[in-house]
Amino acid sequence: MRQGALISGVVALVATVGLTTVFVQNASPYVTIKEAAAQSRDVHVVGQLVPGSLSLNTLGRETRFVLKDETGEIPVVYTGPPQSNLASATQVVVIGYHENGSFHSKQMLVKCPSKYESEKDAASKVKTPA
Amino acid sequence: MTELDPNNLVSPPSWSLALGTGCRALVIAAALFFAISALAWYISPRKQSLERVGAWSFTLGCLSLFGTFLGLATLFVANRFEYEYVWGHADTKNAVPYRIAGIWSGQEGSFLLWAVCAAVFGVLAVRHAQNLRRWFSIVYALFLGALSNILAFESPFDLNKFEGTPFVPVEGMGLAPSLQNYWVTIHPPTIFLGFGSLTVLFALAIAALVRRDYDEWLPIVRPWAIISATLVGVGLCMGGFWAYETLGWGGFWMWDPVENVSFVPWCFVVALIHGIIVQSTRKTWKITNTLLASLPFLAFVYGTFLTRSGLLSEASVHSFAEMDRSALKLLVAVMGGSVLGFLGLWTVRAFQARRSTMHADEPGGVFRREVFYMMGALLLVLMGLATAIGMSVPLVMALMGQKPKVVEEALYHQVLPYIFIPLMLLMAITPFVSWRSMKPKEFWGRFYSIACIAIGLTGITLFLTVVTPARTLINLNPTITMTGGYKVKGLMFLLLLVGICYMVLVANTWRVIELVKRTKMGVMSFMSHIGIAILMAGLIVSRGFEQHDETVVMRDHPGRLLGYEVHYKGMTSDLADRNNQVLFELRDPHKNGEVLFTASPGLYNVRQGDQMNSMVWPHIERGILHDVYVSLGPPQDRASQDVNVPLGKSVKLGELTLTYEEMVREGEMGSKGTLFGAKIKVTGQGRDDTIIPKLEIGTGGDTVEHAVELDQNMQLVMTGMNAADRSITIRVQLNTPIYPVEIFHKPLVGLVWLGTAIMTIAGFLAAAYRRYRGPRPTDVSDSNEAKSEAPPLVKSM
Repeated sequence: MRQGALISGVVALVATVGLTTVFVQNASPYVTIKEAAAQSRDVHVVGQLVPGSLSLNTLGRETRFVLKDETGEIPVVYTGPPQSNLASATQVVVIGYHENGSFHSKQMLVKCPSKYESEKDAASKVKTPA
Repeated sequence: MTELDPNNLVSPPSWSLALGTGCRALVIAAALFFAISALAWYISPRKQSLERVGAWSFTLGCLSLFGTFLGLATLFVANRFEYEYVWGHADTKNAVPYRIAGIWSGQEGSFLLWAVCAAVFGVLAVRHAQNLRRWFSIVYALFLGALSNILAFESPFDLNKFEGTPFVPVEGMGLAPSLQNYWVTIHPPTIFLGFGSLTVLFALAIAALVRRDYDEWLPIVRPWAIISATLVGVGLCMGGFWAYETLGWGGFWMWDPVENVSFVPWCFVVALIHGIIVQSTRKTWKITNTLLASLPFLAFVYGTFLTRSGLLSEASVHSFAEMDRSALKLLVAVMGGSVLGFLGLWTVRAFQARRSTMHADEPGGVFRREVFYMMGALLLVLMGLATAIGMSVPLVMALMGQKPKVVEEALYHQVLPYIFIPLMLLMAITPFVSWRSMKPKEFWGRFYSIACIAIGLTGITLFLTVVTPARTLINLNPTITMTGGYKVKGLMFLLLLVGICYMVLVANTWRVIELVKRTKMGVMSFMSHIGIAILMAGLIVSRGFEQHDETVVMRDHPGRLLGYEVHYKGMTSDLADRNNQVLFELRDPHKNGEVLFTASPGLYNVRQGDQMNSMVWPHIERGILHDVYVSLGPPQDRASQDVNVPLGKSVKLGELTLTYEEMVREGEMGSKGTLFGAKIKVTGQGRDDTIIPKLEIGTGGDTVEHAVELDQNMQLVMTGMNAADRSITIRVQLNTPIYPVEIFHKPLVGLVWLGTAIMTIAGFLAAAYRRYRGPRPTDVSDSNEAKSEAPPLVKSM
């Protein structure tokens, strides 16, 4: 029984360490634009839209824009579901990979200046629906 | 919009203010009652009469929580917007069921729901806790007291105030649009009842450990374990249905962190159920089972912390605002206290138990039923552990001081099959393994029989699919990303999974047929396994073999995909109306455009801050063999496309061809008001005409664009030109919205519903059976099973 407990403990430890390693190693990391441009695996990149760079080519379901952060800029080709609030986004997270000088993404998270929860000033509470 | 007029504020009615104050008082009262109860029970051995005090204050504490909940419900039903929480999660347009759903749609309300559900089970379970009652009550009261304290900080009864005076806003912010689905009125209460019942298991485990009473503990905890597993299980399924019906990505489960927080406790509870069977037949795993009984609760508290702390804010569809700091500290204290307290006690008891009990070695042999139950339980724990680790990656990265990483859905699909497949194989084998030891030859013979039947059935299914029209509805050539990122043809892998589901189905059905003559209720565990096999088959087939395509549709410009022609047919209302639906006719282009059905996905605009966001939900055309899942993306209004065209070249625009023939000029170069025009020939769709978009150059070098109509949907604008090579930039501007449409063919979705129903009903019946037969000293049905010979499967083959 003591032996059994020892074995269980070791197995639990190995499983935990092993699984943690697998998940951490293979999780899609948040990287800077410079790092993203140096590899081709799936990554998350956070950045801001370069003003004026947004071109919606919705006829071909394609959005192009330039993303910048403190390490540089990269052109992004986005082919995922359309984002209705992209132009006013303060911050964009694009998920995808780098290939031939541009970043290809099918998934995007858009952070907008204001959200439901932050709207707690009194004035917004007395607005009637338009 | 009416702006705030400080002189004309509506004051809340006095009954509403009184109710809010009363509810706040009830929360404080609950915390006090639970504190008294814990204390009274703790010192009760010295003074017997304190037991009554403890029991009564426990009941009063629970009643206070129920009262608080009723109070909040009243405020919601009456739309009392003077309360910030009600204002933030309801509005006058909502029907009563959605006002009720508003109660738990935010942070504060979901904590209250958790507390109320835990209290319900506390009241129910405490009467049957027998000699574990004292410690059960202490642990339970401490936990509910802590939750009441959290509620005192995270109060849903804060008033909207203007310069210190409460006022009634005209309209609430409304329930988050994606929550306005009937599943949201029933999924949270169900799953929170499940989460609430986890507290029973935890409190019973602590009580058993304190009293070192692991034998009488067993029949008490058994029915609650089955109830917990069933409630959490059915809650998980309901969450999946909600996702399928509202989120529009075409699936039930995406390994979202909040889904995982519910799934991990389920794995541990189900492991406990199997551990209990091992203990009740072999008298081993006594200490292990107390651990298994505590893990679900600890995992859920940890998960709650993870999702509410704001660490996962970017990674989940369930967004929660960050908690009140004091409340979060309390939650961390509850988590730390219960984890450390439990582990400390458990470790001490584990060593003591090892010293005091000598385990005679059982008769050897690996092929005994309890070995399989043990393996099953361990694999379930491993499944829970893997999922918990996956969802903890953001925390791990933060603790290591590194940039965050995101575990995407695909990674779970790459890791978990290594646990899922052996688990399913165990479910297929175990019904035929007897409690006595088997010879390997006998065992493998049985395994071989079941595998052969399953392979046969898989083959027949595949054959029937391929020779019938069903083949056009499924994707027989799916690609799957395997571990390490290799993309492979997925057909074989999916058939393997389907085959394994068949094995589980065949083995358990067989066992049910054999057993049902002897014991009607004893077959329920096998029935629930049948349910799981059907549910898993449904999930695997409906996602693995799905067909999927996307296109864009405009007024008078139908889109083609998956053999449909999609025609835009207008909207049922306007974009301000929450019930607005967009109508699309799906026609069969091969049958003269016969209308197959009209899809009506929902679409309306909701104001979020300074901008309008589109809310969409899918249309599901249900069928026996497959669902047609029509998902609408947010439409693009006034979409445009810029194209650079060199002189003499053409561009394609749908069916039209635009040829840039020459540059024309009106007025002198460099003077004010000079117009440059591009002569563009339009051909295709029976057209052959010329249009000339123009660009006017002002004195300061500024430009004015003169657009021309291309057809009723499109405008052509010349936005720039290059004087050197005479190339131009034209913009195609749409004056009608473009609707992105996705269509999925989801085969055999009905299996998901069927499997869930079987699993749930069987689970509740099994719990009822254990509840009314369980507390006997010797477990009749198990000893019967233990004595009975293994079914003569091989001989009959």
